[in-house]
Amino acid sequence: MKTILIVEDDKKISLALGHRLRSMGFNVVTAEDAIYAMNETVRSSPDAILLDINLPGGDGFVVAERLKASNQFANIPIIFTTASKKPIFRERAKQCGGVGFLEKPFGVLQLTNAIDACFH
Amino acid sequence: MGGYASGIFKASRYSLLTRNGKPANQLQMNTSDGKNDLVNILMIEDDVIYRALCKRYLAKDPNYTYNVVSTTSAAGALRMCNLHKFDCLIIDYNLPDSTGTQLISALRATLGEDMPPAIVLTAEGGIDAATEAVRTDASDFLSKNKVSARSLCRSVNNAVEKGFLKTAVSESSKKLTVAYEQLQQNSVEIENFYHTISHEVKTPLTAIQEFLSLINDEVAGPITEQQKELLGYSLESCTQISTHFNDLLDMARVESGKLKLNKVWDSPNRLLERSVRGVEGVAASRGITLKTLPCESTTELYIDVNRIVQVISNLLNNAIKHSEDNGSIEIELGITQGNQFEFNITDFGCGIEKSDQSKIFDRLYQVDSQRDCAFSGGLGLGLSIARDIMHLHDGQLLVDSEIGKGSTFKILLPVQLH
Repeated sequence: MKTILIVEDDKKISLALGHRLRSMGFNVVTAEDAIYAMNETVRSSPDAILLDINLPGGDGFVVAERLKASNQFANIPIIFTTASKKPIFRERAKQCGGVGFLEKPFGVLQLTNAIDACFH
Repeated sequence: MGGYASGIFKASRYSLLTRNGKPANQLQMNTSDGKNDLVNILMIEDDVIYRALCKRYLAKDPNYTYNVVSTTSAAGALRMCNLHKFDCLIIDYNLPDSTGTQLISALRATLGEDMPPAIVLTAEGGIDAATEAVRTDASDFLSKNKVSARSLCRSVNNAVEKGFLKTAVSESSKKLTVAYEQLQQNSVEIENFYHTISHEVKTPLTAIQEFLSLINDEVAGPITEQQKELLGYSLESCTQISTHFNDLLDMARVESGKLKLNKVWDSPNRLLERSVRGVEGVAASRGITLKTLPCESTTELYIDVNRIVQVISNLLNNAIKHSEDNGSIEIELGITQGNQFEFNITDFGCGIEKSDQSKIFDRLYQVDSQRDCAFSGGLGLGLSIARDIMHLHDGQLLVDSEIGKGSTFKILLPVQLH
């Protein structure tokens, strides 16, 4: 069973996405901020990360850059999520090697497509 | 301090204002003797007799009262102009340490835009000097031995008035620049504010939408058909909230001039396909047929694909909203005689009143829903943004409509060479 790490500071979104991903057959682990995101990555070695950009303790890009800089976790596919519409976020997500970019609120189909892109 | 009329600055109520103070000149400010307000003149002339003569001439001017200060050299003139603001300079071409035109150039280099108008006095037959004076942008030049009270006063009047006007224009221009910068700043602040609000609303909205979807998709257990239908309405409303906020953000980006196009070459038929795909579901749910008449031409358009799809989708959504159930919508593509590419989107709904047709593109315009079924509801931003996007493409968005028969929205885009 593949594991997906949800990095999301809004507990309700995290809970809803957790339900959704489990219903799709994934094992789900969660983190609420940038620091926990790193700890949880080390602890559970996820197969993909759903990474919110606006996070306490350093934004999602910082997390992505740290992961990309490490040998062990550089290849974990990352899907960025954000409720912001700032075009710069989309550009930076690309630069940080994001496999997907989901603008909140997103639908099931968008989520499914993004996750498929991580594993194919 | 040869020629310097010491004490003059404190003696009069018309004291010279310093360069850091308010400008000395004020248009149309009449003093008690019926003349305009005091005009400050700096005369650069080493001949004491000629200086006295000019002063006497200027005293006869019926229009202005002059406060004439003098100096004998270019060096003195530079020093004084740096300390005080003069309304006009009268400069002798032949100065002991320079020429009149060299002095003008030096003053212009130091004072820039604050350079007062200058009149150059040339010696007899000084055609070369006169030509040179005009070339250095002197306001006027006068032949020294032909100067009369009338000619000097007229020349000074003209120069002073031109200077006053120049100052007034420059001040207005500065105020406009400041106001424009302030407006730009406000637009940026408004845009940032909208971004914050949008983010703060969309975060809980994401949770609402996802929980509703989970129930709708029966992840939390089976639900009835009726429950599914009701949840469907809630989900539609969630999408509506997002659309409204996206429209607000787009409007703010247009306002602050930050809406930039990312243009690429693409085929009109592909644009149509993409736009139609996005609304097929909604149209089908109401039994509305989308009849597309693609273009046979292989012309490609140089456009921001996402933005043009946004415009077409907006028009298609409007057309669906205003069509009867089981009705139809026609989408026709083609090239006009004026070599423009056109997309025509026609619905057969209730149509738009003639008086409203020009207003529907206005920002925040809401049509009276009693009078017109077509454009009620919403923020009134969609069509305004669509038109802005078309203008950014050097294109147009037009409407033709008749009450009871329907509406055609026409997008025109320039056909460019690949």
